[in-house]
Amino acid sequence: MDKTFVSKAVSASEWRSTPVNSPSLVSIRNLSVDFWRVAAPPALNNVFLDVLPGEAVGLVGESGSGKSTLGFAIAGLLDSNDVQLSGEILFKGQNLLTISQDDYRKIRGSKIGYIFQDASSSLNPLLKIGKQLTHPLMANGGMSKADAILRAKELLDMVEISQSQRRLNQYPHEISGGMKQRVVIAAALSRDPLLLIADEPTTALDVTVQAQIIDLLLRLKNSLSMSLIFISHDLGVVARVADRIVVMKDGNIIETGGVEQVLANPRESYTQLLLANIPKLRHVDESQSLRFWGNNEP
Amino acid sequence: MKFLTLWRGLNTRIRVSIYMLFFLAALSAIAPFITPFHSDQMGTGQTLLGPTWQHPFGIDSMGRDQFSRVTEGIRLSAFIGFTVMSTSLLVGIPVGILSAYKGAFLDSLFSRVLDLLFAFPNLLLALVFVTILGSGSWTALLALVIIYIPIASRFVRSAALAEKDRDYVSAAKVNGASTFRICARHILPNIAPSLLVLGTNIFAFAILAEAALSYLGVGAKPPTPSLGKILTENQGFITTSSHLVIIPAVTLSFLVLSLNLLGDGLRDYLDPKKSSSQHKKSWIRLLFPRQSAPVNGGQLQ
Amino acid sequence: MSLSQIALSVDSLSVNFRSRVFSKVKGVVHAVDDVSFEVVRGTTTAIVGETGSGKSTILRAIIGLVEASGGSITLNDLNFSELNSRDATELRHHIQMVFQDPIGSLNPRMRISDIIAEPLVITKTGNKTDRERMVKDILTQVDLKPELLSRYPHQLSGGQRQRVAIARALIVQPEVLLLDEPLSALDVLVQAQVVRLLADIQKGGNLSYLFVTHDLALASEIADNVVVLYLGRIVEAGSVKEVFENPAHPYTQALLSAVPTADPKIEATRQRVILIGDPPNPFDPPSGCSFRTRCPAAEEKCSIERPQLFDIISDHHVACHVLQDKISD
Repeated sequence: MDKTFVSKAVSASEWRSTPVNSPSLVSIRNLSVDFWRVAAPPALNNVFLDVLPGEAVGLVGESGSGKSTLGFAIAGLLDSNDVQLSGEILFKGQNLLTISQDDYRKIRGSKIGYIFQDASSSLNPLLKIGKQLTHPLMANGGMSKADAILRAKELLDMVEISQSQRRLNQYPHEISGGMKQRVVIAAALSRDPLLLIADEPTTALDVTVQAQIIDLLLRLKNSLSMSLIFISHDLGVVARVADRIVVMKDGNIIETGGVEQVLANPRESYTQLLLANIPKLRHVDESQSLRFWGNNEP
Repeated sequence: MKFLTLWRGLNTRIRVSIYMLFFLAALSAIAPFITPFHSDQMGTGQTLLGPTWQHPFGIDSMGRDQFSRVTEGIRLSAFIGFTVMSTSLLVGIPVGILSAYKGAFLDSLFSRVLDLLFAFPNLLLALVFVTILGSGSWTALLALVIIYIPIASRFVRSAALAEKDRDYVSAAKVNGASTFRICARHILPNIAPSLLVLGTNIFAFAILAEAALSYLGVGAKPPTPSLGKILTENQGFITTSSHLVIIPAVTLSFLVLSLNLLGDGLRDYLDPKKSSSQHKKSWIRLLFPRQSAPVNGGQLQ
Repeated sequence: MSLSQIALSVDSLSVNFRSRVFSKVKGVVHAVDDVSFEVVRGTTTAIVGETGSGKSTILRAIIGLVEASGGSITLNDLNFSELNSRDATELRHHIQMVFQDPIGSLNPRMRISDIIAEPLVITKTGNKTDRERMVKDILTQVDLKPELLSRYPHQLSGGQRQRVAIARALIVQPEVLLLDEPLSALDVLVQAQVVRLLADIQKGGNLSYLFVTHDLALASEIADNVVVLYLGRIVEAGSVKEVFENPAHPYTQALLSAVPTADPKIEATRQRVILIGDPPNPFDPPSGCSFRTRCPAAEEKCSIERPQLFDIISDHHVACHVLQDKISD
């Protein structure tokens, strides 16, 4: 059995390949979101953001920064009874804030995928995995049962879950947390979305599993030519995933730019403050090759 | 003066329910002084009469004045409801909390005993009592208490189960807090809102359950006018003299509704996380509160 | 009486859980399996591991919230062999705990003043005035304003709540403070504040910290010593500098290489140690070395015999047959 133990991370140039001069996939103009709550500041305050096709954008911020709200807004998950929205969210040129709920639902299912933080609560504990993957395909995608099952297997392969037939028949509680999150990703990708919004998808996972999921998302982004909006409070994770980083605070965008530039030379004091205060892994020398097992000379 | 400040701090639901209950209480208290008729008195006038000035609620098939009967019925039903509610809570709360907190043997013991009581169909149990003790309001009361104690205990137990694993309970345990302190200071206050709602529910259901028992003849002996009894007596006249059914039914609903509102209002009032004023105040909102839950039920960033 | 150098000593601690009677899976989970380590007075020791490693269970067993199935703990040369004995009231004054979730660890229906004072009330320390004074004193220590005393937990921010939890733990002046992922529910900037606070508090006296975390970067910053757990067993332990600079066990190497850094250049070029396969079923761990199913260097010996910890150098121990054999050659 091949136990490829050490992998060299794919080089920077391979990950960060975004075509320039292509029109934005998502264009957010002057977006403000206000919750119907007495004496609360607006959740989003005149936000401008562009996401190019095939680009990975990392939204970073602390709690209350509005990063999740922004993700919800784009996916149309904010209940109009609870919020007041103003501004524009252009998706492929169409303003999502003006379309009907039905149309939005269609887009949400097929063009925009969404992943929540807690994979356990994203999956119905009473339904088998296969059912949860095939049902939307049949109901909204109009597939036949046989086609849907094939597609479900294909999706499980895409997210690197082995023994797909066996997994389709399992219940969520029978699989591990990392695998659940892969299933959730598979479900989000089932209809080939152009945009995948991931809201803290790895925060609840162990660090080794987190690394795997991040790699998976990157590979998928490239192979499917998908845009990715990755929301996280963890600057380290975003450094790995994103091409461009957007730093948010209290509903405003503080700084944005290429992830390497911003993290190496942050312009804004808030970004500098964040960077200065994250715990850094000491004593470990990553630039040197780690001692591989087998070559270890104590 | 202190009362006034307290009153102002109460939310709308509590105030409305208190008005309603006060109205009912006043009605049943003043009634004996207004009406010349006794609730058992028959032949007070033409039978099946509609509402008149002399008989505001009409007269039933046996010539009894409905006004005096219904108002006495309020008293009786309230008494039954209150007794059943307080007894089942008084027993159910300690049993439920201890059972949940201590777990293991104690929990199994209590649960099996409660299961036993649960297993008896209510009416069968009531019939058993009747056979032994003879029928009557007190028998019905006893049967209801026996029926509702396990219901209350179960409810309290499941609420307490959710609390006992919380970190603040662990923190108290770490400091060596006694079982009593943990149950009384940490668990009970945090399940109190649900218990209040439970209490008002039991109150309401007990009233209705007593009506069912009366219907089968194992409850209040005639001519005792519990609201349920009146309803069952008059049910045959629903098409001809509908006021005989509508008025007691409305009274019963009024009582139950006020209790439910009180329970809800108290629960909200006691919650330290008092929600700030709603966006729009309206009477509809009173009955159908807006769920202002964030999307995905989680933290919104 | 001079205090010993070792504040807390854990010897062969084991915690077993039985599966429930009606569940499909039967058997015993060795959540903590023969774990031994020491916490030197005035230092910080980190227990790191992933889900299912047993790290939180160790803390709970030490403090008596969970019953240990074997082993002993020694605090200041006082042996608390009956780990879950309710009579160990002495324990309360020496060892305290701060829990992970600041919201869950404070009773939402109690005022902050009552929450902080509660340990004093339970242990019957001082009268009302004494307690009030002690509460005020501890507030200054954790950098909280006295106005917060009359408030309820939900009116405080996450960082403030965690400081209240710390105040509550410190008010009885323990010598050892256990912390179960105390920072994971907090924002980055708040985390940094709390870390500084904990460091300041420790500077003064002989307070020792034992904390559990899955965040290796955090551990590398604030801990002096580290214990790495896998499925209830220690795989590697030693000073943070040694273990992180020269990780010997493949699991430690995998963990360290998986930690994301906020430096894209490093991220693009670093070499990662990937673990294959899933974490094994805790009810049915692999025989011998429980890590062998995911270890590329596993040999026959690894499936037969459980590896014991041995010293590479004085402050660095590892449990691994292959490495042990290599060194002895």
